[in-house]
Amino acid sequence: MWREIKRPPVSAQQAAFLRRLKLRRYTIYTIQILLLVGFFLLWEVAARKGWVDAFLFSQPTEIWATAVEMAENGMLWKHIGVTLAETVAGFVLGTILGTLTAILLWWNRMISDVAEPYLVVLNALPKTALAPIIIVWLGNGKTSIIVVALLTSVIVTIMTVLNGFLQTDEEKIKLIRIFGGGKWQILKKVVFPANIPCMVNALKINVGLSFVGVIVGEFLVAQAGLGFLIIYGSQVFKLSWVLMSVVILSILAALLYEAINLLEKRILKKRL
Amino acid sequence: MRPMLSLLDVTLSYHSLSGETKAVSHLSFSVEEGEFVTIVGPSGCGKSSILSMLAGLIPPSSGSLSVNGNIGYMLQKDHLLEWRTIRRNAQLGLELQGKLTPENIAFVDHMLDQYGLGDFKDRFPSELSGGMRQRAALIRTLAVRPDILLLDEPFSALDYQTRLSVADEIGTIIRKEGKTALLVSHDISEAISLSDRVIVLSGRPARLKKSTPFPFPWKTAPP
Repeated sequence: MWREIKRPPVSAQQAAFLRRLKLRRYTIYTIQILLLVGFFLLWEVAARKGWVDAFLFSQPTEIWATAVEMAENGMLWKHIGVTLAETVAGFVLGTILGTLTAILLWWNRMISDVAEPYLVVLNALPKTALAPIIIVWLGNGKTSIIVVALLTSVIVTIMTVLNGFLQTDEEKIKLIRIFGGGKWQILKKVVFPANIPCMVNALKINVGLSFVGVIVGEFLVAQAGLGFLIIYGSQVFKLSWVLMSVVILSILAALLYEAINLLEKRILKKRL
Repeated sequence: MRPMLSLLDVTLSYHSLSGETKAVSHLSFSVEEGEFVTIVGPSGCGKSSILSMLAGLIPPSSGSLSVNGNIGYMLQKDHLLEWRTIRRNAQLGLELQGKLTPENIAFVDHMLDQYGLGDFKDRFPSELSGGMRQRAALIRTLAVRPDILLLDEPFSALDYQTRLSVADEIGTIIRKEGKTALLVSHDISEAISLSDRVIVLSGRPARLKKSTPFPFPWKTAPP
């Protein structure tokens, strides 16, 4: 009486289609890697042949030598550790605080309507403009840098997550109310789980924003971290320090982004 | 027989910035125990509002409603939560009402088995066909053991062929479980084939136009 779902077997055409798809993916990977290698190669050659001034542009081999030297005396790890810790603290706190605020604003529409124009203005405001004030208030240290990083990501998180909450299917909320569920249960059973992809997305955006906050903070506070290395290196004309820091920052950003991608896959697989 | 549901001179108005809209006007009717009644009327005439009032989601502007028993409400779409398995979806109502006892869990599993979803308990809604999803939604409604079922065009989101078979299936299940049912529909043939009595409403604001019994014998004794 009841119909069953049947899984179709993989035909020859389907297999060919999948193979083509795979081939295309590998081609893309290859080109991407070649571009990267080509860029560094061209840079090295340009510096050696004198097409660009090696003193101002440095060169990959020198950057590598600097990195090896700093890795051996432990300086590199210290700076990376500081920046990474501050960034992670910034985007994790920014996402959590932003989500909690979004929950509050969703819970009470009066508060959210009152807050709306302020949120819009704060969102448009470059948060790094607040960095000097934060440093004056909270002192010349890590706390200030983390707060700056948090500020860069918290407002956009509030807006993104609140928007997601408000767009939750009204009929699904009605479903909870039909079973006698109140606001807390609407949040717990529908609004929050339905918006987990939205929150993970906010987390992804916040990785980038938090890096901006941390680097600007380190420029100003100047004690440790890759931001410090960049500003110090440029002041004493050690361009290989500056460029090494930038390269490491790119690698860190990519790794963090990838880590969140993995987290996303795990969460979406498990659900709630 | 006692009336399970009754409306007495019920009026409902919606308020918005652009003005007041009358959805229901001086409506009175009642549904007896074990009866399957369908309300038909043109689209947007306020039929769904009647169900929302009966479910206690919105209060009437004037008049009175009485409901003798627990309400189960089926919406137009199945609204299965995509992140829950079919079993966890079917348990949702129990969970919300704090009735997730081993006995009730067994009851849900039994219904899933009985209504052909036994092999899909641990699947996600996206893996099921429209008809199967609607059946899972019905089990979710029946899990809290309602005395009265309110059905808000539960077949309208399905394609025609699925719709016929699902309407038939769900009608059979409701009769088998001996529930009182109030169905809202704009499909007159569906109304006649499923119910004991059809209530016809006018366009907005909804008024009672006619109440016609259709006591076809095949409904109570399946062919």
